[in-house]
Amino acid sequence: MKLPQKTLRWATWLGWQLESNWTEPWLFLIYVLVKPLTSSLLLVCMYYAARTATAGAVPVEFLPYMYVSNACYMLVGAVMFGMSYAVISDREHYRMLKYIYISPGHLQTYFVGRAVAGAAQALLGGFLNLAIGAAAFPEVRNALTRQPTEWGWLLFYMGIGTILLIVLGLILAAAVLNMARQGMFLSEGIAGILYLLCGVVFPLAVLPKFLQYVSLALPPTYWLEGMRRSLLGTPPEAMLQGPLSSWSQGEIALAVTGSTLLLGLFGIWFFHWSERRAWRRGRIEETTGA
Amino acid sequence: MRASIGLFLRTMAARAYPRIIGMRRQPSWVIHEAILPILSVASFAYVYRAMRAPEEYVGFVILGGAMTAFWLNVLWSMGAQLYWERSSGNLELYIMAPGSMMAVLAGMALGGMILTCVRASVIMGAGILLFQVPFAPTSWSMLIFTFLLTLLALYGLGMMFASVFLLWGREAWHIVNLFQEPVYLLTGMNFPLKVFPTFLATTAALIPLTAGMDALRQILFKAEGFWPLEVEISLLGGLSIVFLFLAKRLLAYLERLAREEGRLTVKWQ
Amino acid sequence: MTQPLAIRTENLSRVYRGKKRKTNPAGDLIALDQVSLDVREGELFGLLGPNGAGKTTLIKILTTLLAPTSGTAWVDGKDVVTEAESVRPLINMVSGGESCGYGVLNVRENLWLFTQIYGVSNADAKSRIDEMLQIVGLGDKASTKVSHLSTGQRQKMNFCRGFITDPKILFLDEPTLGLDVNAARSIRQFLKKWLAERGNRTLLLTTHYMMEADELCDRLAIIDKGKVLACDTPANLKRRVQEHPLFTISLTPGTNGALALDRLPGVHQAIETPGPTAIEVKVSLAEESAIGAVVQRVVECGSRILSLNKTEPTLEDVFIELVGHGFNDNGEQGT
Repeated sequence: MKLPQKTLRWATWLGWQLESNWTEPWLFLIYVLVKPLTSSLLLVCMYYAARTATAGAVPVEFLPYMYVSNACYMLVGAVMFGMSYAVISDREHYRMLKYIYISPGHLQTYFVGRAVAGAAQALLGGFLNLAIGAAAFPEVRNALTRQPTEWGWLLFYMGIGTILLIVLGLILAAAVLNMARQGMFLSEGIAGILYLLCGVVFPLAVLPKFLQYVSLALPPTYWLEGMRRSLLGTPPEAMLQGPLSSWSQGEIALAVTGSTLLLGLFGIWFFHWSERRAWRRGRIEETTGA
Repeated sequence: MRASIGLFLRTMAARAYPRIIGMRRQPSWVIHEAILPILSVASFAYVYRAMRAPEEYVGFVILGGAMTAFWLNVLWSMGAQLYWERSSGNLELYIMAPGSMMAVLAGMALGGMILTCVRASVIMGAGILLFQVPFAPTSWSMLIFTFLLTLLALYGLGMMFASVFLLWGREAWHIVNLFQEPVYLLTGMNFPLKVFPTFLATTAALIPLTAGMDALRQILFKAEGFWPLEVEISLLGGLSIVFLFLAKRLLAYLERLAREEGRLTVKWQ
Repeated sequence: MTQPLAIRTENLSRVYRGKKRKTNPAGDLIALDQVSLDVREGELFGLLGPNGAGKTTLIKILTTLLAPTSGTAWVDGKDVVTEAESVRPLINMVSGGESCGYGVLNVRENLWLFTQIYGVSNADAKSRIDEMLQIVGLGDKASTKVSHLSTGQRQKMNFCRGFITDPKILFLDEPTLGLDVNAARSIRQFLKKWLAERGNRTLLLTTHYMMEADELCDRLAIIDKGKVLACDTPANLKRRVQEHPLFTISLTPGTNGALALDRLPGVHQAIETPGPTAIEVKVSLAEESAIGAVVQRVVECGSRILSLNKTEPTLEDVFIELVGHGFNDNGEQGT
């Protein structure tokens, strides 16, 4: 087995151990489900509150739009945050980063492996979240069953999404290599920016025009649109229309693939540059927290 | 008695010091404590704008974002903080010292509260500027009093968390992480409590943020509250007393338990 | 008049409960087993033992961080379990290899923080901190952030922290760990001076550096696998292993067995080992003063003394005698 494959294997195992072996399996399962479910329920409550306050003027399609998007978005946070957190925890808490760095193991693959466990958790949580949403809320159930799921496109977007998220995570992890413990908040911040600008829980048309241009420059915007389109189809309600509503699946797929490719090339260069910089400045073994 | 009070105050001031001085020496907090939280607040505000909900609902989101900052501070800078203290070896030094752990926790609370007040103020200010939400409190003195009472109850709860943590290892981080989002939901961070059935809202009232936010909404937006304002203020007062009392008792009991099980100095979990 | 006791333990035991597993076939771990010790006020008492012997566990119990499973311990006459609050103002602890402190604060601020939780006034805190920083050689680092200190410098800061509260009883858990030779030497000199200047202070020191224990301790206990194997002064402990003073003499060759040193009064045993360039003679004496007669006999036989050394048993010799293996033969992890 080649070195990157070996690294991926043991890094995934390590990531899984760190993520899961702190408690009993049943409590772990609750933990995996609770966070995504509660964030979805928060949106559900907002929907019902607004619908009551507007005497039913909010269209029923709004809820599945938010719910499905939010469930997909959980993966973004899990992978991005997972990789940057691996840098911080290995450097500051476990004090192991320096040993991994000087080992023959491939560093980028190591961080990817560490994130796989978090991603698996998020994937499981997202799936359960959607299942519960469909079971509990007729609006979500009807939207998911109104038309057949476009499985081909769904699988495509899941595949390209995996690559996109890994690239984003590596870029963040690379940045955090040169930051103190507070660098952890960088990935939270980026996740927050993406949540605001990628049309996760509201149509992009609500944003000011200049922000819409920014949104259209972000690859996750297209990825989320593609995932929603595959599961729910194009929403008929005018309230849910946005700049990408007139795009076809092919155009969205091309946009997400192209942007992922560009991001990937940038990510490879940036990781290398950032790693060298951290090495020159002695950041690999530095503990910086208060 | 005077010596005890003096030692309590010295310990509290000493433990608050790293947090306060950290604000000046690590200015990156401006970004992650002040600017970044505005992003999630803005997201939820736009959700209500997209749904064309009444403007006061956008105000709920802004208020919720500001108060959430305190909840996060209580969770991470009090409850989970002892986890970091133990990892770095400071916890055993505190336990061993004559200054009480209550004083140490009070110091942590005080230091964290100052930073969090800044965060909350920035969120409120940005929210008012960006979304033009009208804030018109019915009474400024009532607003300040209710706010401080909410904080007292909330930080009392935080002291309880900190002591329960003493029994946990790495699961402490995960349990604290687990509590984060459910509390946003149960306390009606972004929506009026009347969405909930009565039994659920009543259960959620055990968390100080629930009654606190509902009371603040009534004062700030003249919104219809789940309970009358006087009831909610009385509830907050009662919770403050109960949580602070329980925190003291629990701290002593759980410290003893942790000493028996040898958990005060276990590291690298 | 008997010195009052600073520390006393009576049948003290600590068991860590564990489930029997493949990775832990023993199940329970007995960290301390019926330890009974008395430490007099004013003493520098040592605990010597390999990693995993129970030294740190004992210190944790005495500093109120850990409850014993059975038995009792008193510090300054106060029970460490039931009167922990009364014990804490009187003690402090320094652990070797620790990195406690707040990276965002500088050295002086970190030390000040810990004086406050002991109720030391700001004026006293300042003077004590200044004094200690000079003693350990960190005077020029007082305003340096802790996160910028080296491991040794952090340990020196840690060391200062133990003394600035002026404790009646100080627990030192491998305090010179991580320090260079000069720093370790100056620490040891400081400890002796501190104790001498303050007659009623007590130090309990754990170490696995035998030379350090030998140099510093008035008495020491040798501990292994949770049990105290012996407790006495270093000299008495060594005497257990070697009753008679032992000398090694190197002579020029050519005496042809005429030395007959073992027939001399006061000589217990003499073993000659001829070599190509010298004869090595090991003499065991009834008492040290007999060495004079030995030297005189060598001179009378026409031989020349090339070197004369007194061979002292080490504490490791004592440990081997008591336990049956050396310090490094024990592969257990420390607690």
